[in-house]
Amino acid sequence: MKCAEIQPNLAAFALDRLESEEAAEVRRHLASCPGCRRELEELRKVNRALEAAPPPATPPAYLKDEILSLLRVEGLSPSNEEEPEASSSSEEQAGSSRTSRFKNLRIVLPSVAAAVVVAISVALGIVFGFLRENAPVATIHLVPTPQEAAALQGYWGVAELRPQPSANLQVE
Amino acid sequence: MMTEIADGLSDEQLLTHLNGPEIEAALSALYDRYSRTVFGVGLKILGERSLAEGLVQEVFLKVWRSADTFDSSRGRLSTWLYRVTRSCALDLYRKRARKVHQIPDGDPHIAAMKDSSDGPQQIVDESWLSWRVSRALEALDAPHREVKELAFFGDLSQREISRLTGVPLGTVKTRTARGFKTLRAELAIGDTLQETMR
Repeated sequence: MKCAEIQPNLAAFALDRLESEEAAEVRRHLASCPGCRRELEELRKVNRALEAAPPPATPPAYLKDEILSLLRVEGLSPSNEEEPEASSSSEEQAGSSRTSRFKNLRIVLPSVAAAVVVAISVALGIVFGFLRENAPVATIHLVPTPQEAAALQGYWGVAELRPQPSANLQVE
Repeated sequence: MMTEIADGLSDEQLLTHLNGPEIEAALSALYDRYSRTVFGVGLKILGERSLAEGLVQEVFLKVWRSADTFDSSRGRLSTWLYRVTRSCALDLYRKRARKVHQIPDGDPHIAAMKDSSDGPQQIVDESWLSWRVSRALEALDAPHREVKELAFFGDLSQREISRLTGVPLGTVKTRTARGFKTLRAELAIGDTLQETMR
């Protein structure tokens, strides 16, 4: 075979991704062609470099939105207060107002987000608690002994038995 | 600045827009160009998807905050971005290492175990080559990159790629050969692959 016929297969041969009969043809040609052998050696250098390649992966789409959201929120921040930043490398030496404001943002945002999550959870818990609550099947008055009553200053309690999905009764 | 215009600007031109009103479009365009590389190198260094995602966020926010420290006389933006990525990755690596190595006092079994994973310096050495190769792969257009990834990472033969993608076998071979040629030029094997970190 001529070099022109071998060349299109040489890259796949370097990758060891040719079918066996095609690979055999390439080997026969290489045995008598120093030019194609040199070309193959160059391709194998590329192949070795590819070993270092990170796996093909794309970050999740929401990540970009999160970063841009942080920029938008930061852009609305009224604070221009500057704060020196200790750093060791050149790219970290840009202590700017953007840096300090972002640092504040990183402290404040999680707290605000956590507060919102707690508030929503409590609200949902109350709503669903009311919706899901079953009527008690029994009410038990907890009457303390005279000695306990004296210690508790007149305290007494009530326990309610409510039906549960697992058929067990829950005491509240 | 419309997104389409941002796409036509060089990396360095985009960086200058990070100090102006078009910050979002500029950072968005830089993200589109580099996020796969930062994420991939992060996965390789840190080994965990969640940490690699954190790395991507840290890197692009740092690019925004530190854009004015970029000095074009010291190298291309890609090289500067690599240094930012390396710095952030090492920070995350050390934080993770501190968590892993916090063991209760007096536990001889755990204390006797040695961490056999690569140290930070080895990781940094390897990450530069990973970065360069990833950038070279990103320089390929989508069809050439797909063929290259299926052949190299998917262990598929040319015929199998043809069947899988519906692309004629001759075209698959041509794309493989051209892809190699482009990678070779991008990597400049033997010349600039060992480019020093200034």
